Amino acid sequence: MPAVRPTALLAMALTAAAPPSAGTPVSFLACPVAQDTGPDSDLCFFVEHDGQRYSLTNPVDYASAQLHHQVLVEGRVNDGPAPCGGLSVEGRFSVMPEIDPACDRIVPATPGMAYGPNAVSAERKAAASAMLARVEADPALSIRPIYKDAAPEPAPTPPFLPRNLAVYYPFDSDRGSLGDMIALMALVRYAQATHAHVTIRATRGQSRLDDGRLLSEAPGLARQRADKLRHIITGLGLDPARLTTDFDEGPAMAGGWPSRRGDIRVEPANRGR
Amino acid sequence: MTSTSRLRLWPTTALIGAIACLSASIALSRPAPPDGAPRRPGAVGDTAGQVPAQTRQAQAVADTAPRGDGYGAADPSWWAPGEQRTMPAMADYADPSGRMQVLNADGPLASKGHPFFTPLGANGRACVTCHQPENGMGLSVATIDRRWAETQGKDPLFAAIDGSNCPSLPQGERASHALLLDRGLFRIFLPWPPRAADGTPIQPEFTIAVVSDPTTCNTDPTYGLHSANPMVSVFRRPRPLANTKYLTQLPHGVPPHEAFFYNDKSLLPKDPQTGQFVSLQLMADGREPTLRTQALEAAMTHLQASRKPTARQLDRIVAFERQIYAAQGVDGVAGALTGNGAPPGLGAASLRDGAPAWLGNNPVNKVFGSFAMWAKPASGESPAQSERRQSIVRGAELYYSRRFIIQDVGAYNDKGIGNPFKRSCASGCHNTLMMGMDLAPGFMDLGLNNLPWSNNRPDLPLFEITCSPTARPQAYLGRHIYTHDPGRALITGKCFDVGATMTQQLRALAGRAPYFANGSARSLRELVDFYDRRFNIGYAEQEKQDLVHFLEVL
Repeated sequence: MPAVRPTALLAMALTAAAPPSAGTPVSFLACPVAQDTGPDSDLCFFVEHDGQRYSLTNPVDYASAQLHHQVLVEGRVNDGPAPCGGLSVEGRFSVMPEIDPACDRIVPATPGMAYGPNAVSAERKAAASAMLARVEADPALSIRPIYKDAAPEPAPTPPFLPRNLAVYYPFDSDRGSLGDMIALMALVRYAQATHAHVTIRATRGQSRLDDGRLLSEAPGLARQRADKLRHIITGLGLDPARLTTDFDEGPAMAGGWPSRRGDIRVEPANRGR
Repeated sequence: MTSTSRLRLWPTTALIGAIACLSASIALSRPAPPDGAPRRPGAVGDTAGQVPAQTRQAQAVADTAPRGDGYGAADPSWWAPGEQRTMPAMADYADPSGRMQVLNADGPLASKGHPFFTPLGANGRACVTCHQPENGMGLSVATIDRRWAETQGKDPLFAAIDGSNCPSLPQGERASHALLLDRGLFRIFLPWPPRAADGTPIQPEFTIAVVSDPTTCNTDPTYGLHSANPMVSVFRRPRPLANTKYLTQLPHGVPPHEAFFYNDKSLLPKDPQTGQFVSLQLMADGREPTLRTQALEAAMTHLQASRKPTARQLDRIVAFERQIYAAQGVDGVAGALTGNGAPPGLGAASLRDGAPAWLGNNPVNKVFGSFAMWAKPASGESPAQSERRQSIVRGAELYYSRRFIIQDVGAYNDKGIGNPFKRSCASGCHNTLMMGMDLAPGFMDLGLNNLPWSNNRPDLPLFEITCSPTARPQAYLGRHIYTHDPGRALITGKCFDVGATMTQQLRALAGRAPYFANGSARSLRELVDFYDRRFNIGYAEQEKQDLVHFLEVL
């Protein structure tokens, strides 16, 4: 059998099916592929499914793809740019916790090819050069932090309205995202400042794949998520007496990624007027 | 895989044993928490959860080896416990690369009666025994070997409790102290199952079995896994007690990690005294949250104190540790590392004056600052000096900018950065300005402890870890792992933590070989070789030399 180069195979596969239109829902498991983007830039990730290449770039932090693990892709195809040479998906990616040794492919960079936002832009390179010139003039700057701590948040002012936060989770995990945890810290500060009562309600989810399979999260995960949120919120300083925790082991019937969540509601003691 | 005496300790068995042990009344035991309360590691008051069990073992070991007096006088570089000396505001000590600086920011310090320099327990050791100024407040294997020769093995440094491979071995024989003499490793004995902050057992997610143990301590009927006080013995290097403001400050500029672990977004532990979050950068396994609790554990275990140090003693130890800085001051070839025209990040004074806990991975703030002033020969330099300085510049550039693929590092690649991930040393794991450890606190399995990546270490115990089918697996090794040291998992009981340890500072390296938590690298060259192999970087010979020259001046 004649040798066939992987790139040729990929090209054949990509011509086999028409790309799904924007808005098409997708839900599938696949091995991520790491795409090198050159010596001075990071890698990006994509998956191949049903003859299509989907980008896994710019995910919520916990969803950064990992070789040796399948990724659960859930969302809708959008018609934005195609980073990493694949269709972009608006939704969530989940790194599956179990090891899959078959997911072990790194594609070398093709010289001259642009891979999207992960590549270092000319603007960033120019800004870096300007900063380096400053350091060259004054080397002591190189050990003085150029960034500053963020200014303290101003105290909230009336009216003190209820606030909500939905923390979404990867499949079979209680790890919140970096962005959600920053938002949660702000929410707890608000709850403390307004003497609010806080309610947590966590669920475990279920996802229907395009091939008909049903994936359910592990029993007990809703409680685990609720307990972890409770520990975080009280650890950040909220009086446990002002906190109510609830969970639903359901699972939510095939609700997809939105069904893997913890909802936090803050009800201030009064509107402050 | 060689399989010798294979002992498996199931958590339930261990729990029963541990609970039975807890019935023994000891000064450090505390009441159990209410039913259903979460069990997490940490400390209550001054004492972390594992300390009562450790104390029982430490108290059970009689220090029977003959001890000598006055050895310090014969060796002016060695600080012997109880000696009356004055530590100057700035001292320097010869090391294999030149001279190391040790700076007391609060000025000269008299050791007389100071608890850091005073034996607090039965074996004659003090804190200074394992945190020697000449080694940048750490302890090099060269110093250990010298003490062995000078004292015929009678220095308290070689105390049976942890200065030998196991207390049950014949003390005073070189073979019984082989790990300390060859690799600078002390025995760290940790209760199994792990203990929560309140001292109650944590139900671990895995079983641990001894595959082989040349030290004999994990299979020892008195000190091992099946003893009445079940313990896992692992062997680790002491971390230097200098530059601690960088280790205890919560990270700036990386929200929300001033309150959260990076890898699983759970909360950081808290200082039991202040209630504030702690960065957990002090110890390889993070078992002690603060300098104060670390000092107490060290007193009860390494020093075999029969009672807790007083609050006043702990205050003085911590105050001393907060103001001491160590860094290389002179390179034997490159010359003075401080003063006009020198790189601004070198020398102990730069550490005293530096801002702690900031990222050093942007174009302005590179971890150890600029070295550009050495890129070209300067007037007055000898050819050898110029050549070395240019090599250091090249080494810095490799450290700062040479990207390589970082793959399958447990508790790191899976923390949300992707596997693989392409970064340089400085923009990846060693990014803290002035110090070089990972700023956002987190543990990682670089591959030093777990097979298949670890260096060949037949001198260390080898454990088989079998995780529960319902536990979250170690990200790249799964639920069945062979390890020389389960690391953080011995504290948390978590499968995904197996083999993970905290990155450490990269200052004052030249005087405190060997390197890595288990002493795997006897030299900085071996350290570079490990990374080159582990991550398939492909450094050229000249690049390796440049990196070593760079690390030597830190």
